Amino acid sequence: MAENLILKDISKSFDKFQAVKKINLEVGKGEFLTLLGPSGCGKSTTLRMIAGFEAPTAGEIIYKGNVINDLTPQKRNFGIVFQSYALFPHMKVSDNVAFGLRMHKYPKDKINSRVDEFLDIVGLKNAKHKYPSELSGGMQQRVALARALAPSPEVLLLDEPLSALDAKIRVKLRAEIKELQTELGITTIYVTHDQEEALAISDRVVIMNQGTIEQIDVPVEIYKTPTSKYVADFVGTSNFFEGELNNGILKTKNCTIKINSSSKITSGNITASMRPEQLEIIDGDSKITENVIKGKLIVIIYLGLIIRLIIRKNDHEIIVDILEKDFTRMKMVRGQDVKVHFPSDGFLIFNN
Amino acid sequence: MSTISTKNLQSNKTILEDRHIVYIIGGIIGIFLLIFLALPVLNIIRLSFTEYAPKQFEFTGKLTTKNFVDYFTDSNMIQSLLNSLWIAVWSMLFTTVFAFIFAYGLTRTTIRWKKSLYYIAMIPLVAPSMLQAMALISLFGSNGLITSGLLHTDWNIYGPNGIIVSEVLYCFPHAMVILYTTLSAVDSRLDEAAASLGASGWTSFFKITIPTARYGIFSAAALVFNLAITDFGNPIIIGRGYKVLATEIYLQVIGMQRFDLGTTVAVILMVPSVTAFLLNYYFTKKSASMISSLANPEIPPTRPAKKTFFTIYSWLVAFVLVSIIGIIVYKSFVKVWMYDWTLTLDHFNFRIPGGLGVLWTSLWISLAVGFFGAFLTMLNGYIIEKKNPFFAQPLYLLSIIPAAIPGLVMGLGYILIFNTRFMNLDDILYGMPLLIVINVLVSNFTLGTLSSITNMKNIDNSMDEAATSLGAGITNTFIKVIFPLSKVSFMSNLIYYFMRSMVTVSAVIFLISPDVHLAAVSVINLEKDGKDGSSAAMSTLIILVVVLVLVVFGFFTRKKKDAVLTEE
Repeated sequence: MAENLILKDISKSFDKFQAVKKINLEVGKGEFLTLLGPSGCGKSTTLRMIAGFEAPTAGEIIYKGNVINDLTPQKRNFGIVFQSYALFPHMKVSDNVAFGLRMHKYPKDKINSRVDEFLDIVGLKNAKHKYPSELSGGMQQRVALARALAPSPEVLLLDEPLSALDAKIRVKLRAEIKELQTELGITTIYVTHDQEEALAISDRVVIMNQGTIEQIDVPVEIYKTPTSKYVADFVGTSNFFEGELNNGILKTKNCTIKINSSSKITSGNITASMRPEQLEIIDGDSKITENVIKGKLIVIIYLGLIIRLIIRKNDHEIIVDILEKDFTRMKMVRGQDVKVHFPSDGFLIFNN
Repeated sequence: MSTISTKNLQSNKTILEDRHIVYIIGGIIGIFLLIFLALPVLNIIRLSFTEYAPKQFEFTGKLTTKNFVDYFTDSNMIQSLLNSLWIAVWSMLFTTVFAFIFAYGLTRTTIRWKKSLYYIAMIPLVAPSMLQAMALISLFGSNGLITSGLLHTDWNIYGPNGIIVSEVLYCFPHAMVILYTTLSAVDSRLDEAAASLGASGWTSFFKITIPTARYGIFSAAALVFNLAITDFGNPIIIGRGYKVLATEIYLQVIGMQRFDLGTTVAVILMVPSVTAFLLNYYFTKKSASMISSLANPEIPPTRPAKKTFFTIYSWLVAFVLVSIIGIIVYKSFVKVWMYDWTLTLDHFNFRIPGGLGVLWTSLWISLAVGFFGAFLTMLNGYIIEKKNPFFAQPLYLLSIIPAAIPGLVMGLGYILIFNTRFMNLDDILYGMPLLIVINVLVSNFTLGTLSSITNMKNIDNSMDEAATSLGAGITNTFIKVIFPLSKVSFMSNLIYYFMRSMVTVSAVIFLISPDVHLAAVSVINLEKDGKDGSSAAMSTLIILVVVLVLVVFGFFTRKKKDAVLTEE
């Protein structure tokens, strides 16, 4: 506990705009924590406050039991990696990595050995004497990672490090970052707007929205049991049904649905949500009649292993994911009528 | 890991915090500008409202509006204001139109040799501002090569017409640069879109090209107006009794010791010049907002007739600009202009106080101004743009004001406050032309700071933050990261300052002393003494020095630029 990084009632305002609103957060030693949210949700501002580039308007940042609000970035000893790499273009790769070591007055032979060691770790030993401009984006970001890690920071901060890279390299590099982090056991705070990335890489994910924290949890719980409609919508894809809930029956504008949920909410104006993979397409001769909606198949999206179907019923669109082999078996075509079944126990309920 | 953090904690107390360093350096620059910009200018305004005893050559200290009443009731005096406006308006119109056509040819047509034409258009910048007038007199004066030599006419160019032509030639590159930037930044695909919608060439020119470039045009016009109304060199040489505000200040102060009239006219001159500056600033901002990052550098083939027109026009302009310099360079080797065409080096034997030494004085003063100016404006840009302390706005304002203040007014302000018996800075540093260095530095602070701010904007903020998070303090960040990344900008500011300092007259004409003479000022004195061969020779040497330094520094900058380009 004493080693933890704690944000206590942290707020940040820029003139009249409140970017971060009284958030509380605790990051354990060695933990990989991700701040996830759309642009403008305050995730980067939060990271910049932890790094020391922005001062909180209110609240305390506590590290190892000390309030570090007034500590300059130089004295925090946190490493940071930027979206734009921010490599010094006039320095060779080795000088970039050595920069922090020189600033921390490491002895010369130690600098050399550490530069080699960390370039080796990120797999760029051969690029030592090159300039950043001679490297690809992915390689540059590896150098940035080595540069941030070389002075043995106690916390590693990553501000959308993969956003400027193309899809393939993004996936590859994120696995490497995760591996490296586990190996070094370094406390890591990662900022991204990419939910897939967040779920894939983190020990815990913090969902942020308009300067507040919506939910903090391990990836699987974030996906399976979102605690708010916002999270259910932002992470993954969801079908939403709004209406009046009464005695397990939801009446919406278009239909009536039976809901069998363990939620504390049992009545009132609510939104029920269901993930697309929980819905089923049923054959015309199926015996299931409850929670079945008939609609028109308007879009078919091929995603590889699964097929995403968009089905229209009046002005409501329903998203259903089915396995590719089931799709092939059922011989579906665009424009046909389909029956969709909503298992009554698959719903999550949120108050409106 | 723990050893590092304890070490950091120990060094906590000894190190001056980054933000304090920002406050100290920013504060020093701010105070420097308050003393050497705000103080002299405000003092001039104060003195213009103070009673003066002409016989004692002293201000009595009594508050009065008499100076202004005198000026505006004396039809002889008020003429200088009307004349100045006349000159400035016509110079503005002609220069803007000529420069626009030239810039249009360079940016929107497929004429050849564009780069050479661009550089030729910049030629007037390497010469002192009275060079145009001197060349015109040599050609069209009462003893001019064309007027008396070729046409045998009594007509000559002295007076308002001569001033206007000189100003057009002098202001041309300034307007051209702005219009060139504007026209190359506005997306030429707009024209193509218009053409595809059925607009003819002329229609799309008037409905698309001109409107999209309008802020650049206004900004160039305002700049020319400001340059023309504040110029001193050309009117004093070619005016021949045609009084303008700038010459009036000089004559009242130097000729008649009428500091009251000098300061009053200075204040009157500041009204149009500050207005023009504000307009220029406003339109430049507006123009920047119209610049499209999608601007299309590719130009469709130009129709043959159009291409011919722009080719002829551009080379005609180039010919005129080169001739102006050429005639002066030639004249410096001619024994007696119009009478004895034998070539000689006699004119380079200067019979003036200081002799050829004035050139070296100018050279090292200009180098000092160049280095200090480039360094100071770079620090200033860094503090304003990257560090943004609480006083960034006032500091920015102070930094851009100098362009609004005519050089002559600054010079007058300096002698009225720093060269009095109460405070004589030249006495404190005897024989050092400190005031001249500071004066030129402050007079040109605006462009230096603005270009430094632009440079800082181009450096990603995370560069600074990366260095900081790796443990570098502000000093290390600046020396190891920011400065190396700003070398090109530093060099071009250095060159800019150097050139301005070599050729400026109006800013320093009040500040030369028996100990310190400058080359550009000597040109005026020689010309006014009728030693036009020697004045041409001195001009030739100034141009030579400027060009040599440009080539030397340009060589370094070119190399640096290439390096930076590959880095991106």
